[in-house]
Amino acid sequence: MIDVRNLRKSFGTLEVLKGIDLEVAAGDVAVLIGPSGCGKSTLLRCLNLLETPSAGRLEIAGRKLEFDGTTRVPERQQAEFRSATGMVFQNFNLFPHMTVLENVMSGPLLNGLKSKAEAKKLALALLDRVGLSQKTDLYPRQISGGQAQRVAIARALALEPKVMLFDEPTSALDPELVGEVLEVMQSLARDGTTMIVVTHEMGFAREVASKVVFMEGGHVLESGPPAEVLGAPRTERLRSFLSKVEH
Amino acid sequence: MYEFDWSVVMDPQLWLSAVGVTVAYAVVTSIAGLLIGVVLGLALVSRIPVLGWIIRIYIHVFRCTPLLVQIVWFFYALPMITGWTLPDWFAAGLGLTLYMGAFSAEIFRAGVISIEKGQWEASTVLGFSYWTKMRHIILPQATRRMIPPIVSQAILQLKNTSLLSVVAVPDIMYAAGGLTMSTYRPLEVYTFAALLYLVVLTPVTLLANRFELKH
Repeated sequence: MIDVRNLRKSFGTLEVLKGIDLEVAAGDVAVLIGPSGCGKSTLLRCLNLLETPSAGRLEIAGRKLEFDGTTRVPERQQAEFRSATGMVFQNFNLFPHMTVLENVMSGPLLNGLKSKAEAKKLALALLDRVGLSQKTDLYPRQISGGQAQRVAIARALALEPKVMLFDEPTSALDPELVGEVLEVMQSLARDGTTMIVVTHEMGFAREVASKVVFMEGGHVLESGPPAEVLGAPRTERLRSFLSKVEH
Repeated sequence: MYEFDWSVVMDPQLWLSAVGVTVAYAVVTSIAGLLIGVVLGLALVSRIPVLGWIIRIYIHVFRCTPLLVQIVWFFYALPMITGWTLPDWFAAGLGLTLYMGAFSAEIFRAGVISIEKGQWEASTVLGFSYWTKMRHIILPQATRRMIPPIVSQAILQLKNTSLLSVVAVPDIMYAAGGLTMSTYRPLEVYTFAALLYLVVLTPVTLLANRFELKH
């Protein structure tokens, strides 16, 4: 499903990704962990071209792109490549001037993919799936952070992406709201959604991930099934990281 | 002790037509200026290379030179230099319009760039084209933020029409000038003129405040 080869990304003289290889199969839930600044968010943002990689190869759901530092992908091709992925942000980024329902409808509707009635039907079904069918007519400022994040998940799902990307989806939430978002993500995983998740929630990594990737300093240091990577870390770096995040 | 004599300002006919001229110039030049501002502001935020520089120079010149000079320049100098014969009423409003255009382009640009990066990113990952983003995501939010500075600018614009009196446009200030000449009562006349501006602008500010409360 996803094949990343030797991906590099520099901001000016600072190299944030120093040659990343990553494979994610259909139905996999890959969890990216690592200290802040290790490049995991940048990697995620490269996958949907919010950042243009400096070098390397990306393949997602059959769409391929190669980068050599001067590559400028035309707008249309970017949109085409991006349509394979849906993204959920740390800060939700809901559209504040639209209701919950309109937010979820926005993707199919504004891209002209569905009629208003069809988009509404789909949006209602998705809101039901994330447990928010009672909140359709509220505005984002009227709901809690956990609810907002579930709306954001429904909004991304409305475009029926092949892969869902989650960029620290629970980091901006009050602790008591984290669970409801993780539950939704877990149910997506059970339904076979391919997901790449950047998170500090080790419990989620342990229980839901089919693959855990540990990054540090722009490199992938360890990757594999959670039992292996989290249960028996091979590197001292990972051992020390885990001891810090798991108290 | 000065004795006020308010009877000298009692000339309803004169004031009525003067207020009409002032309001007409304020409304027309504000709307025309806003249209210029929207177009130039959009061009600025879409970062069109050469055009961007030209627009920036235009904004800079009009924001940083006195409006009085601009009005005089467009009224007298432009027809002389170009040989165009512009109707007086039009030439008189040109400076004001371009002045409003420069300020509103800047208000417009500021409104658009004030929208959080996350809104752009969210609409990018949803696959929206540039114009879809602008029209459905960015502008509806930016417009709300632009209303207060646009209202202030429009209020300034109405007061700035007083400068039109130098090119003999019969606005409130021009009427006041004439009346002062004939009555030698500047204190009463100009105080009354100020009152007229106040009367015209009060409902505008009240309306704007109500709009802000609603949104």
